[in-house]
Amino acid sequence: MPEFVLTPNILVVPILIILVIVELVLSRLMKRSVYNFQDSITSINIGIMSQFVNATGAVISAFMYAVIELQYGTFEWDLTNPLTWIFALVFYDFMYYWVHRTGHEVNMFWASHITHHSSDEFNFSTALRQASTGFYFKWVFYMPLAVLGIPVQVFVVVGLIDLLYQVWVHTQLVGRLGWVEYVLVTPSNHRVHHGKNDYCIDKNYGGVFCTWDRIFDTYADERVEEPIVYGLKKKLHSWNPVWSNLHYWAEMFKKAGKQDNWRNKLMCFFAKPAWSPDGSSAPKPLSEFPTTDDYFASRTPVAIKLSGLAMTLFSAFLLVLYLGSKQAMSAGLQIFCATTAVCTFALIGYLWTQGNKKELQQ
Amino acid sequence: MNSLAVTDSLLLLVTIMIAAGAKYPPSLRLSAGIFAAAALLGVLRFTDLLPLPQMHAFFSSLGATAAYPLLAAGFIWSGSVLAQRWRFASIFFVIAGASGLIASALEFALWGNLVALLSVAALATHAIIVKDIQVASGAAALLVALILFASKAALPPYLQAGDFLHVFMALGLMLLSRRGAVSSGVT
Repeated sequence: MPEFVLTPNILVVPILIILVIVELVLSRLMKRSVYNFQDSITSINIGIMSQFVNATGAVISAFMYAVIELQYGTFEWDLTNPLTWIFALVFYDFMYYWVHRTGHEVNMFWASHITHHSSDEFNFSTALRQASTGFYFKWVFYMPLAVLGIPVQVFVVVGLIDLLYQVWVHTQLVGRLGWVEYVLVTPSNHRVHHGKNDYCIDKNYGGVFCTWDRIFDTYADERVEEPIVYGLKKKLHSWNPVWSNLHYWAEMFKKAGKQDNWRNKLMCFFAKPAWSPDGSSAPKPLSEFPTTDDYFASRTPVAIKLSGLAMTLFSAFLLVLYLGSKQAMSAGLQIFCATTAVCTFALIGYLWTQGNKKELQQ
Repeated sequence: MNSLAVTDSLLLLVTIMIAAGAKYPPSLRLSAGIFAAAALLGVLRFTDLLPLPQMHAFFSSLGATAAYPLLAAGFIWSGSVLAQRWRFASIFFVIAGASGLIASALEFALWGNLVALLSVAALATHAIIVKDIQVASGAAALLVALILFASKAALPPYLQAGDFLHVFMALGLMLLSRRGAVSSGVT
């Protein structure tokens, strides 16, 4: 049995789950319905699966960063100086803005990031719904930090701070926050980011600071008179964590396959998600999509709900075990564990989705 | 001040003029911008004003692995969105740059030289096939720059290999920019 090492990302797992429970209880006390049981269970499972995959993917990012920093790192940074950390966080967040914007505006990167937006709900569990396939492109955007010589440990810590900050903004329970809205990403301006209302599309990409959105003209304020509708215009209709990561890839390749020339095939991958061969890139308005097709989410059998809950608790336990002992595992064993987790989620997710569809047919 | 500072200043001047020129297509301006950053760092380094050798090496490597292919692709497919739109030129640049960084991490030192050489050779071949004398002469100047630099050609004590690279690059880019300014239209 490999030795168990308690790392910060292990501590994060129960904290995040507790946060979800706290928000759920608070929302009940405030008589607000912001949770759909199976949707949230799916979000958490997607998050757990992404941790299995990204635990290895993050190593690749950190490795690339460390190598480039070693080769090209220009300046020496004093780690005891708070300004080092503040500068690194601000610069990291600036690069995050571009990672995030690219994740929305370039189709093959949207294919990864879409997972995070595939929930019809907006709550702390949505924050956990992270893609398992995004690590392949994100690292390159942070290389300017490496060239400036910011040490890898600073990069990892500010990256974690940036990521964890973004958890609390995924809530409907906090209103507008006055002057803070001008500087920081808040629940209000992040709700806009997750909305599919026409005014919300491609807005508010910031991670910690919304200043970048204001500078690059991608900022939009929440409109009180127009309630935000969350999720994807074309709904996922699946509880499968693996399919939620792959459905858009499949759709994108299918679309590319239908094109009769190479130019259009390439455009399917590199143009905006709404691109069509006739040359238009403007997203279709929300009014063109059905608004009352949330039947799928509202008719989940109890057996699926219970097995979903059991699977979540069990996989969270396995994730903690995996994260704590992976340092002692060979790369092959790590890949085997991650693959096993993905396959298990794929199988169970398939059974859940089929069960739900069968219930609807009955 | 050594000769490298003078010739890098020449390259800086030419690349800034192209990068700032609104009449040039984005692929050419973006490539020139990267070359300009490398040249600026070169000037600062060789004049001893602000020597940042690692950053200079990084931008030079980025120029070789990403700016040369972008430049070549922008001329070969001059009417394409890659040449004519910032968005696609930037995506190409990021992907080519990323592949260069991966090669660098894997200690494949020849990658940059290889990519730059192949890009310029492809551009020259294309120009010859379409009988575009101006692009062909620009590509030839770039080819000479790369070959002289790779073969460490020098005229001691006056000119170093880097000087040949800077001068012929400036010449090549100037010739290409004259052609780049007239091509337009997105397909």
